[in-house]
Amino acid sequence: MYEDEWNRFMQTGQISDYLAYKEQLDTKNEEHRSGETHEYGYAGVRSLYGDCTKVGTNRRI
Amino acid sequence: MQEFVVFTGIVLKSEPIGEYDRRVVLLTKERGKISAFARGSRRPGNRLMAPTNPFSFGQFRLFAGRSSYNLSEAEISNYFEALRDDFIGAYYGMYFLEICDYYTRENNDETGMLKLLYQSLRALSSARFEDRLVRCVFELKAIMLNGEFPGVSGSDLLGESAAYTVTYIMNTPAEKLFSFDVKPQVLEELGHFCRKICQRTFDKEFKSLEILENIE
Repeated sequence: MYEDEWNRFMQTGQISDYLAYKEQLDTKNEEHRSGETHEYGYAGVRSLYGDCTKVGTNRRI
Repeated sequence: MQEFVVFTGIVLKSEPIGEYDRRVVLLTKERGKISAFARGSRRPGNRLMAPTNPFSFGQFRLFAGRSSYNLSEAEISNYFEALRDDFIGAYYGMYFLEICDYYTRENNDETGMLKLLYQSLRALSSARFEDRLVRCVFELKAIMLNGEFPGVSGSDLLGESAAYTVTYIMNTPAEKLFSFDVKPQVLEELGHFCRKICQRTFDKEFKSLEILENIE
């Protein structure tokens, strides 16, 4: 958990703990980015009226 | 029945207790410096995990136990995230937290120090101000707020601009402190002056300052 690493850096002031925090944060961001890709892959049927999986978006009344 | 209180403040220190808990030191507007236990805050996904990190500013909901406060909820309005991207800024921030921890007491009115800390962390997070200038302003104003500033004497050998800057810091409230910039030469003079005043005033060595001086 990167919050834990940050907290450890705040206690010790050691640069190695800061680097550990940065590494954890980067890993977390990587995971987040790859998660987004999967989500977009599942976005549903593309239509001219927008994304049909999102209720109410681009809907003409 | 447990009585809840809501305090506005900032986390100065956080240390692990037991397997899953933390003890935090908060600088609050209402009660000065207090400490509180945040039970379970080190469990993965716990809602108190991020709010119990140092620099978290916001509203803290606590209940008073027999000998200490217990943190139940927190609504954080500023985590000062920018300080996490730059470790030098983080060291400056840590130094400010250490000074606040040194100067403040429980049940004292520490509103002045809280405002100064908040404004200084904002200035540190912004690219507009040089870190060394923020540090000088913070140190001088903290010493002034605590009534230990001896004033400027002839032996301080301050130039006109530097002396004016010191007077400005002395007479300006924390909210409006960070509204000026100085030339490199004036900053140099201010830095020397602050170092001298701090050596005379603080009877404690600050861990983060040692690291900062090595970096600078």
